[in-house]
Amino acid sequence: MSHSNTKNPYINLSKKKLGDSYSKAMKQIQGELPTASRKFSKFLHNKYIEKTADFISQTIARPNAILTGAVFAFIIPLFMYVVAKNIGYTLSGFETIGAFALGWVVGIVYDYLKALFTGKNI
Amino acid sequence: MFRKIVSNLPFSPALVGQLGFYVKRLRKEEATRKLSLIFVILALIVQSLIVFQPSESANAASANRTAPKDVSQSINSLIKTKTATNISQGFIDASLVTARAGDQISYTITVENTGINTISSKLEDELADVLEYSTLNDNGGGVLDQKTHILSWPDITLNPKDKQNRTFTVKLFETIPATARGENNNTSSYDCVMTNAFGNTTNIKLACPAPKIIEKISTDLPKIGISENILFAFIIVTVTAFLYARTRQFKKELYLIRSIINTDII
Repeated sequence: MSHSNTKNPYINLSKKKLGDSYSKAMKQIQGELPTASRKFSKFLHNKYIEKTADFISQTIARPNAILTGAVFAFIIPLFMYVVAKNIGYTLSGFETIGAFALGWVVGIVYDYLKALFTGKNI
Repeated sequence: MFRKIVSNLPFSPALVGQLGFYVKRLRKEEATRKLSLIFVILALIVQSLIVFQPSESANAASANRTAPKDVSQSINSLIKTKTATNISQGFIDASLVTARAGDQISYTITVENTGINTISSKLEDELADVLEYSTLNDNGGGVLDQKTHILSWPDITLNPKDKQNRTFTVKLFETIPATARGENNNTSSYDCVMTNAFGNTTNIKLACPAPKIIEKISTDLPKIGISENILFAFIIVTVTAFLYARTRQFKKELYLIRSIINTDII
């Protein structure tokens, strides 16, 4: 039944078989985890949660996009706040959201360009 | 990816290599997400300062200031025109270039009687907006009212087809002030443009300091309130913290799988 292939180690198995195998493995792993961690693991590996989180983390919440967004959302509004305090004008309140959105776009573009030049999957 | 590797692993031991790569990727992702969470928290501290301890308007612009207007007498057959020349940048039309600190601008106001009767008229020019960024260097024979900032000349009498002009010069401050527009920002006060109206309106753009550019960007942004900011903060913190915890958990579980493989339990 076991079959190894150096080029493509994934073998064709029925969905049911893979599902059973996954459940068995997860049960064994979760059995070794502390209570809180086990509960969190069960929540995370819920089919729908897992699929949704996978989709979000690979699209709108990519690590680099969130990181650049967060860095921009910290630096730009801080700078604007200091300037506004110094020369005396009111801010619009949109600075953090705007800066985050700008950083997020930069992060996404970076990921895209990286994938384009290295040939790796985005 | 996690599900794919874990579910296939018992059937394909060659996946152990892939598992190693995936763990490495997760370790990297965990570091990025951890850093993101730190910056998100820092950003939220700044955001709460902006929202709950906002910068106050210095209200530099006078509350009485209105948009520059033509204060001279309006008579149908009296044609009024104004030109501005930047002397320091080679006698060019001042409204076509950006004026720099210390530049001298020469204004010429012209009145022409196009009617058939003789006209007597007052000659006045309001300079409040211009004098926010400059001083009157040469009043061209006029008298400046320090309170109203109106430069006026003695009344003139114009015969039909007669034309008269007056020229005065202003000198921009050596340092262009970064004074905020204040709450009364519906006027053109401290907007980095010297606006003057006499018949036609001349707008002279100024090379304003960086803080004024930041002020301009900030005033151009849409105004949003506390609730929108709180909602944004909640979503960002939740998503970032959840994805960080998820990556950490996956990594922990994969370590367990590796240790189980090493002890030949799976």
